[in-house]
Amino acid sequence: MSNAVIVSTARTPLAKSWKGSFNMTHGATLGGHAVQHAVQRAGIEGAEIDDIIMGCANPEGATGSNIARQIALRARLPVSVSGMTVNRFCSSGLQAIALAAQRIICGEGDVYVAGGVESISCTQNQMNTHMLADPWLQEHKPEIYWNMVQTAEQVAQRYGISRDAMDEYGAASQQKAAAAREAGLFKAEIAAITVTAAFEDKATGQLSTRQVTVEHDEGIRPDTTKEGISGIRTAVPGGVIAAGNASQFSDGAGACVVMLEGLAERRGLTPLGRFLGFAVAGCEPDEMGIGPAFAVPKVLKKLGLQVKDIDLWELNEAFAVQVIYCRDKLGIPADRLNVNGGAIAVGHPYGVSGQRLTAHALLEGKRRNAKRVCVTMCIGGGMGAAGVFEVL
Amino acid sequence: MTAIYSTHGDIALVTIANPPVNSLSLPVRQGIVAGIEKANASQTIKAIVLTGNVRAFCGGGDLHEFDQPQATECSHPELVNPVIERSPKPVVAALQGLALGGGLELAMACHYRIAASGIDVGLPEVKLGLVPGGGGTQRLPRSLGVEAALRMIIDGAPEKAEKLAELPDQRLFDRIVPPTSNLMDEAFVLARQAAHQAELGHQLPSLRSLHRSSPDDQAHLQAARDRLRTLAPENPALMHAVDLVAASTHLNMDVGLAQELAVFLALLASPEARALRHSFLAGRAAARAATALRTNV
Repeated sequence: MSNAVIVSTARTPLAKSWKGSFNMTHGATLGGHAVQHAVQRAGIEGAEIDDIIMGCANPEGATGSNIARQIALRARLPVSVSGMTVNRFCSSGLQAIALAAQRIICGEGDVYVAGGVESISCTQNQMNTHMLADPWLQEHKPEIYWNMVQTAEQVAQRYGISRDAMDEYGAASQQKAAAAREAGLFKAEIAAITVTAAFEDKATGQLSTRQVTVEHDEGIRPDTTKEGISGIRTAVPGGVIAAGNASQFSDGAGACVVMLEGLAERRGLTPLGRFLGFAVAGCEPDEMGIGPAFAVPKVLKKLGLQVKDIDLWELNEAFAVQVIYCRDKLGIPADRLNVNGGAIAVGHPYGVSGQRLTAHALLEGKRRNAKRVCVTMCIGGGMGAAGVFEVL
Repeated sequence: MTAIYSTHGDIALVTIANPPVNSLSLPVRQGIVAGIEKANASQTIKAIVLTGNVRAFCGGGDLHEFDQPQATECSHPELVNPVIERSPKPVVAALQGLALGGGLELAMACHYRIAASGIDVGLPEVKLGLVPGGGGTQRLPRSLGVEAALRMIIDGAPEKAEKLAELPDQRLFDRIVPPTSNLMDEAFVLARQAAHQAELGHQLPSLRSLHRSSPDDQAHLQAARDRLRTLAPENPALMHAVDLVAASTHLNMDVGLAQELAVFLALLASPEARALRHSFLAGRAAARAATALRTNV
């Protein structure tokens, strides 16, 4: 059987939604930037690419109209390079990479670009809500329409996870991410970008646009402590989920070049990692956060592996509560989990996170001499996704 | 308490005379309309200059009048501005002191604007829970571009004319007169040039005919909405103001003006705006009383 390998990665820094640097940037610009740099870094010709697969959880408005096709053109690739947008909410980026790998393995093509794009700033406040809910579902399974904070509160309540434990986890995520940034551990995956953004003048409150070059993730706060975040007001009155223990809204894009292993060898490329397997699984929508607890065993079983065979884990930090649950349920050692922080610090542009976590796991895995890495996340609607890669 | 008509050779001068800040009371509005009509009926007059005094060109609507029946009589959005804009003879606004709210809107309905350096111009309506109602949200973006216009309308803070005149491609001011020159002399020069252009058959310039937009406008407007949603949910006028500026980028001017007036009238009747108006007037009355007391002592 042929193998698929990831030969390059590039992403924009992640910007805070609404207040951050990408609040006026179109999805095609973000995605085009990531794809252009991933292709450059792989040293391949644009015309060799069989398809661009981009994940996006809000594929409308500024990231609508099959944004992947726009991204292909915006990355200055030849018109012959097609584009497909995929949506599996927060796993969209990982799903895109898995799809690329699977298409290589089954012989459809040799070279794909896969990743994700999300502009929460430019889509989430102007979503099309016409006929949002199906009346039958509304009656029989209303949890499918719950917002994510509700599901996180449900997990906390149902499994007895305290605010204190979540805040401890949240602060640690910030501290780990800050240390990682300080040590330059995100550098290899980021491609700086120059955009026009609207910023508020702190003194006058005036909003004005200016050009800015973004080089770092904007959500990381090095001075975060558990005590400092323990007083943050909860998202819902009487709840336990608060800004310090939940992922940050952010905007960005990321892309990987995925290639037939034999072709990469012939080119003399040094792949970051090899795709081993991928699985998705469903769970109750009202506790969507625990999805990884179903997806991980599914993919590991298929590969004949156990939790102890995975040397490094990236479990998306949608909410600290669900990371804690999944970590303990699956028995993931804390020192192998999200070692450089996660979405609580770096941000969570839904469709991008799978790409970011995959690339980061492979780069960090290499630094740690890890053999296998697992990337997993919970998914709105009640699902989990998990992908396993071999570090090369 | 009105607008005074005088002639200077072939130029008519309409001078708003309603101290202290030349607010747009009903007699002033009627006086302006009468002056423009008289000038247009004259055989000898070739152009019109509209001005105020050193302290103020015009400070905008008369707040005391807002809740009275005469507020809608000879209204500046529906009658005064159109009379100026449609005047066959060119109208030059000579701005001194300040031009705020309805005063700036009046100036923007004119064909030309000349301003003394150092004066304050602005659209402070949102501070009273209102939006500009006399074309401000439609004409200011057309003259300054969306970004600067939105800033002025959302902040409500006055800005210096000469600063705005530095904006690229601005059309708010045809000329800024430095302190070393005389504004009215320059205004008459400009009026004669305008008359000459008109005699040559050139169409009178109008902010109405301008359409300025930048590719970033929609993103910028949305960024403003996102900011206001969290920052100032208590003042509905702000979000309306953003929507009206957005309308100016894609709607026909008359449709935009009609939307603006409808929003203005709805807000005018809202309890929020009434309360802000009451508080503003009470504050001013209290300050006057305090000054009077001090003077008496």
